Amino acid sequence: MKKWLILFCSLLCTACMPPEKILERQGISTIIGYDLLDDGTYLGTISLLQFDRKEEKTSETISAVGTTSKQIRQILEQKTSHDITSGQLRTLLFNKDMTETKGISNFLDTMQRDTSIGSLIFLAITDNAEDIIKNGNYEEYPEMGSYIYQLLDKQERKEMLINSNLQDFFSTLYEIGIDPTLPIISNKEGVAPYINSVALFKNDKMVGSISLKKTMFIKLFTHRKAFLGDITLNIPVETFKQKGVSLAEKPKEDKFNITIHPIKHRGSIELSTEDEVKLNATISVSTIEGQPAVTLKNKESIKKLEQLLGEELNKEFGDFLEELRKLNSDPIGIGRKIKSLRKYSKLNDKDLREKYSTLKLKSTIKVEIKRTGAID
Amino acid sequence: MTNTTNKNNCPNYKKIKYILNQSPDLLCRTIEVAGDCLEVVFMKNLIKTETVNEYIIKFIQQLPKKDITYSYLMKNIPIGEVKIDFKEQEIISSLLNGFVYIYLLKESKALLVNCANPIERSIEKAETESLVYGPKISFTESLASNIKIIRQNLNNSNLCTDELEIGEYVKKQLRIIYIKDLTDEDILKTLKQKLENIITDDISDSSVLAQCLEDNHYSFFPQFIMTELPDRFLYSILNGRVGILLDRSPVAIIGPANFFSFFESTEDIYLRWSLSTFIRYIRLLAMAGSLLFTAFYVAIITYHFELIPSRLLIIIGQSRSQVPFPPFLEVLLMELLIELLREAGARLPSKVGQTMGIVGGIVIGQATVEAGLTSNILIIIVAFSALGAFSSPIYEMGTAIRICRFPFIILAGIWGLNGIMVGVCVLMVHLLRLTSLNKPYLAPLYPFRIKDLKYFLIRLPHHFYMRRPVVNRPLKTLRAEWKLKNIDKDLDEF
Repeated sequence: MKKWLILFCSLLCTACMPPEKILERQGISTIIGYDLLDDGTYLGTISLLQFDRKEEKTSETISAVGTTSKQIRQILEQKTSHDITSGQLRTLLFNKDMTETKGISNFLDTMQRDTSIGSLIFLAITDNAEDIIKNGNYEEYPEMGSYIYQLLDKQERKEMLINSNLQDFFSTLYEIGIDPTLPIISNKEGVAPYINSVALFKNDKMVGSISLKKTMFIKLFTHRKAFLGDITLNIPVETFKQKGVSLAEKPKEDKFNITIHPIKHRGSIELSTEDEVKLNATISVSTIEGQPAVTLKNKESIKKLEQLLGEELNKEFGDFLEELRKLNSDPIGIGRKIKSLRKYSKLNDKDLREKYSTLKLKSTIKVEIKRTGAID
Repeated sequence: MTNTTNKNNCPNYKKIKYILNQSPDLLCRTIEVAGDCLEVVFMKNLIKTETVNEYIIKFIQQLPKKDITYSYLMKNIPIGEVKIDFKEQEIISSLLNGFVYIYLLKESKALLVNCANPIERSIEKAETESLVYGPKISFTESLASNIKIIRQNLNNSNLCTDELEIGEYVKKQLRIIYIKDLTDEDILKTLKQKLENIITDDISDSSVLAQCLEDNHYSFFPQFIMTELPDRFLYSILNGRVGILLDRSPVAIIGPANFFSFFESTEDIYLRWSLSTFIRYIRLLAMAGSLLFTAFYVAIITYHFELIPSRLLIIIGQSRSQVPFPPFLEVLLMELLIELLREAGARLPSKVGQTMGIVGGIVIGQATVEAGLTSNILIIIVAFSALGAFSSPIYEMGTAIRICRFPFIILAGIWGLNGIMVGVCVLMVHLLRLTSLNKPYLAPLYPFRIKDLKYFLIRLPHHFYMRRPVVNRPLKTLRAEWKLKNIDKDLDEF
């Protein structure tokens, strides 16, 4: 009797079992792109894996127009004999127009709630998502979805990008006092899509873009463990002379180019007075290339070079901060730092943004040259 | 020994012939020496003719008249094994075992002398458990030579070989073999109780006996180690286990067994520790893989394609694209095919069997893939799981795993990975409850005996094995005591 009861219960449990999804009957989507059309509807483009042993083609692209992402999906289902599933979905692309005018959080909300979509899928912005997905030039087997995934994943692993998956986007979006960033992917005729720049957001709307290089300044304060990426600085020879750093040979051009490789960094945001924020950062670097070569034999010249590099970076950082403030976008999380103080803990998003636009931002970046020898 | 009881019991040739249903094999040679008559009765096919001729008939004929007496013959007959005190039943069974019955008509007394000539296979290399390294001798069908092998290898006075007889119609000798001052008495007691409870016409082989002795008769898993290797047998005995040898069966029973001992081979001890540990893990992994790999294939292809890495996805998808069956049927078909091949191969003579196995495997495998009946990924998986099942050094464990695979495939087909988890849970509960001679089956893991892990899960260098495994509860735990540090270094070398 007991055994039968157990068997009966286990049969009841089948209600919780997953529905049957046999592999070859699935249209497995790896990338979805959304474009905003002129009449306010969206064009959704999807790349499906094609399992045909005879045909060389490994993917199929279909697109449909609709007003919500689920409607687009419903119409897409009409165009294929396979069930469209999103279990292998790796990347979401959004058209720039749409991100600037309508915002993407509504789209992402349904993705977030869909249990078959992982929260580690990458998000990216493009000029035209359909063109990218239909682009036949992908370096990565078997299709565009995998290529873009590999592209973004590699960049994230090498820490050239700020994390840009769904989870990161949402956590920065909903946290008061910090704004998300997403990579921008460009598409050109005849070449594979590539990462061009990084989009800045104010809430869920894109407000501007910065070059990949400048993400370093964001990571300096938000990601302790992240690799900043090699930094190349072009310093006028004049300033060298003024500081008294000796060069090995006289440069033919009037710029001295140096590439440094960050080893460790530490950044802190401090609210020093009522309306002044100090952003202090220290970067330990190794010099990996100088054109022309610089002699770094005595401590004094190293120290001078450190100072020079620090100033140069600081100048760039100052410009960057100013740019951010103009856009009223706060990817560094200055607002978050302010809100963490007890005095300001009741400020809401709007108040913080107001305060942010009036703040005085003071930055100091210190560079420490730790290694000048072998490059690893 | 009392001769008085003998007198009434001793039957003559006529009576024996009657008891043995007028058997044409029963012969009687009547010898007359100076008026006294003797009957020499024997089964003609079971005795060694030369012995009877030389040492019985010739010997008696040479004797002077005064010596043809029961007491003289009893003391002087030139044959080792002589029985004098016996019952009527015993006479018959002894005759059937190749004894010669000498009956003195005058005194109506008799004695039995052993002239048996049993058919024996010579001692050969082990076949089912062949080793690369280490002794290769194997047990044979003859209990006498098996005992001889054991005694020769373990010349200790405490080695006990208790004798029992089992079977009503076919009486067979059985020996319980253990070391008196090592083996836990509880184990022995349980074993003897169990043996006493077995009342049957016939035990045809030691494997049948092992099945009768099991604690759980419904389990898929063997609860005794069956081995044909004397060295493995002795290794177990020396660790406090009990062995059983049955006459006319070449496989010895060792108990209590635990799950992990089915994955040990004596070769593990002979080879160096590094390789042994590695191989032992390979075996365990192969076993787990063989049990679950095909089930995983079914579950993942049917329910959870999200788990497949995207590069593999396209390969699997392409190979699956033309298969007309759902994965569950596809797997079942292939698994049954492999079992069929194996079974067919096992029945054929070894050389034909091998070629058939290979040709059948390649031809059928290749053809089914090309015909689109199965995916080539599945062929790889099925082949792997077939191989994995044979990695256990004990054949019976391999068969248990082969059978267990099918419930897992069915569970995976119905409920996906959740079903596999249900199956694993049921299997774990079953193994945890299983006992062998009342000793826990999953022994060093449950109950957890940290000191025994080195015996069953890994193989360390030999100086770690100073104590016997405690799971068998040996009476003496210390096994060895050698010091590594006190050896003087030869300074001249440096």
